[in-house]
Amino acid sequence: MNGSTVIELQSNILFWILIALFAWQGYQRGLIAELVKTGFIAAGFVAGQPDILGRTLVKAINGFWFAFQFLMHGGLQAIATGNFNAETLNGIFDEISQLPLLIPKNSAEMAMFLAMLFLVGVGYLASNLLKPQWPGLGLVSGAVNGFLLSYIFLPRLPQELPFQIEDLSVAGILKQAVSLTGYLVGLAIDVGSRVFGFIHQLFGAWSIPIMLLAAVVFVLMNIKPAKKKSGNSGGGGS
Amino acid sequence: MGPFEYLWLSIFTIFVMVALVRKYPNELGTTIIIFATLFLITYLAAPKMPGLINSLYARVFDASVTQRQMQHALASIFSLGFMAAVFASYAGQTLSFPGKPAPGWKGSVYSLLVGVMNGYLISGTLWYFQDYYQYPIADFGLLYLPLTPTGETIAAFLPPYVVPPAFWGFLVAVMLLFRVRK
Repeated sequence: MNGSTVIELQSNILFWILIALFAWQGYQRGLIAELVKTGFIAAGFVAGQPDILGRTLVKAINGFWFAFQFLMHGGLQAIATGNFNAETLNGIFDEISQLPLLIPKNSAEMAMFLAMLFLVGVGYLASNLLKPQWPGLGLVSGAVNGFLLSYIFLPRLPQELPFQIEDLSVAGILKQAVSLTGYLVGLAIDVGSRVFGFIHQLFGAWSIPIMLLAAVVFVLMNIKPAKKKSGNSGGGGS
Repeated sequence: MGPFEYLWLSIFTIFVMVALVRKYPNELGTTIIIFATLFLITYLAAPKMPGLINSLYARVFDASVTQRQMQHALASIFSLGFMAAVFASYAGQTLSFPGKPAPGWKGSVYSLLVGVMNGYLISGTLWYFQDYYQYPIADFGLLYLPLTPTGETIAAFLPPYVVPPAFWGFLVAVMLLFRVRK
């Protein structure tokens, strides 16, 4: 097999594996949950495309940011006191026009990608809240979701995957596993550093405090309450 | 010894593994102790301690402390105090958050997240005490300076450098609110 045939075959195998996985998940979750997920994936897709909604979304976020800055730099006071004279408003606009954009132009693509990931993630979480119904139709709908996600994410993968399916000996498989692990670790570090760079651009010196606070609150919210024992266990009033 | 960041990475990895074993409701008990200790050290002890050591040294030895002696003393006191607090949070009757970890892979991911946070806080703070007081450990031949470029990059993101002292207190308050609510 030549190189391009192997790459094509790998992409096809990956594509069908994804479809099968999502179809199986759709069968377990049911139709309604999968339709909710489809909605969010579609919203994520359009938010991630610069030509469809991506640029408008970035502009809207930056616009809201400037509106917020307008209020914080004296606009709120002007509204509260009714002091709308030209000098005050000019002063405020002069001040906020010096401020950097919340999402600078060179980070717009990353912001769109994160918005897409966020919406896909929200869809996944929202679908968990629904009761499984109509598993057969869920299977079909799940396969459609798998197709949509493959359509979105597969082109973003590198052309040459870090493993070859030609060599199926034990040594070959071990070599492929090591190669794949190294690739995934590198990818995780790369994605992590890009995301951190983006967050750092947004929050500056407050990036790590905000990330610590977010991590703590997120994990604390995900502690499942222990079942209460009958009787007089635990603290409480005397 | 090799580059300092290897030691940092080893300590970090150990705490990540500990978190995976203990699960995140227990590990969060350690996190709250770390936050509280960092608040006490950076907000209260760090500004007062040099004056205290100076006056104590002057009374006992009738001499003033040199800058390097002061750096050794502060790095040692804060490192030992911090390690004692971390040890206490793991030993004996420990503080934990009531409740069960999420089942399956989600629980492991949350434990990993808390482990990464605790590893960063513990190894990063111990490194900070060396970095801030200009590496007293190097005087014992346990470290060869200068740091590698990677080490320099990591050193700029050590917890007490990037988190304002009062914010540690805020984090403790947030965690206590959740502890009480649960």
